[in-house]
Amino acid sequence: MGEILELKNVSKTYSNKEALKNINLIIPRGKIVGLLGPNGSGKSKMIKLINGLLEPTSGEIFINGGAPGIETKKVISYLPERTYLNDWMKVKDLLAFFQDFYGDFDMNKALDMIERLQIDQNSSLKTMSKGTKEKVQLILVMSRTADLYILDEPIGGVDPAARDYILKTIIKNYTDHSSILLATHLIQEIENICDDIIFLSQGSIVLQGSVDDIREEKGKSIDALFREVFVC
Amino acid sequence: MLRKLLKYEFKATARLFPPVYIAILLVSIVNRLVRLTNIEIAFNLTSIVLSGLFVALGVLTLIGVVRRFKKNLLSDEGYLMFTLPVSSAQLITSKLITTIVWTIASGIVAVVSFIILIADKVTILQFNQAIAELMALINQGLTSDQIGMAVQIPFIALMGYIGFILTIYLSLSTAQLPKFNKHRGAMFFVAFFVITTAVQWITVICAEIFQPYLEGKTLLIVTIILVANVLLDCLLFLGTDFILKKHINLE
Repeated sequence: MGEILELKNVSKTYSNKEALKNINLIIPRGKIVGLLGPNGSGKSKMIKLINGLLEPTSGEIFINGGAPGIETKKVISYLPERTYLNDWMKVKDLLAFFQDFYGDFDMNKALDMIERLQIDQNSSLKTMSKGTKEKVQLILVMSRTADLYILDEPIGGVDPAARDYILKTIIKNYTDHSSILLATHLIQEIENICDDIIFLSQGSIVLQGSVDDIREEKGKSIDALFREVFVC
Repeated sequence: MLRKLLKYEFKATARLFPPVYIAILLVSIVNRLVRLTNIEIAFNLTSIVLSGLFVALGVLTLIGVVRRFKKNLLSDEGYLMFTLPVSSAQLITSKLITTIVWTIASGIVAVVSFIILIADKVTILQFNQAIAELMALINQGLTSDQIGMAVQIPFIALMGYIGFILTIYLSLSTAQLPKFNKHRGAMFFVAFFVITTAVQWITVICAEIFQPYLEGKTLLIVTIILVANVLLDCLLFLGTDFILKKHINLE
């Protein structure tokens, strides 16, 4: 079985502005990869491209060897930074929705997490706080048995206690068949769970490699390195 | 997958239409009852409420078409819908079919309300008479041309309505393109105006060109109108699908 994700010379231009410049990237199976960069560095753009929500201006994207499309959407579990939940459903409707559309959705796993995070299945999404909505979304995404999990700022809006539980859940889900791409600027929090990291700056990859190697080579933590690279 | 999309599309819209249907039918019954009591004010009042409800139903349908497409596909909810393992064509189709079904349901409710309002001995007799006359006409033997037209005209109406909905979809999709980011609302109206005007111009030009060849051939004209409407609907659908597939621009 080949790489889970490959980007070949991918660029995305927006009305004369280059949002992503010639990105080359391979993510093998069984890795947790941190996609790090300041706001506006192109993280979300890159994630949208992988999810087929944007078309690259040039270059190619392969997921399980295929271009983004219906087949790749079946194997990617994506958590966007936005809350995409509508306001007319209840939590249980949403669980049914995911079960209907995704063959790899594990209802028991979802119910278990809903219970652990003390979310009421019968409460309507309309009445939920932003943090609770984010938790619900993350539960939905992590309850799938996908090949590639793409999490865009998964812990940004939730409290530290839930944060720990979520990170544990993420690690628990990771098998040697699947990989996780984790975009965030909360580096300290995720540094210890990532195998590899990618530093993105102004649309280009400026650093890429294994966390252990980089720490050893530079003699400092990824968080400290980030502050140095992206000094304001 | 289309079936599943339809299921959720109906669930999402089921909160909108049935309450208005129930209100219309109830007010129709009340209107009919107060007419029996000869209380004129009550009759006038319920008549006004009823007209208001029908206007509301029309407005609701129109707003529903715009809102479901815009909110569910072009706003944050789009992140969910466009990452489902379905095609954008299926997303458009599910919204289109749902709207058509609700419109037909609205039509049925209007007919039922009308019957509640006016059905009595006299009107039922008149209705029976009209049906009898129609049957007599058919029994006399309609020409194949007449049958052909009678069959096609309802389809022209349906295709025209589908064209109207798809024009709204294409206009909304055009207005969300990155270059119009700051003027989405205004661009929707501009796009709608441009598309409808273009269609009108093309219709007029084609009519001018082909008129000499079609003099007196009514059935052929009706068929051409039907085919042209189907073609137009296909173009509008493909245009919307192309934008959603290649140029979706979620914020």
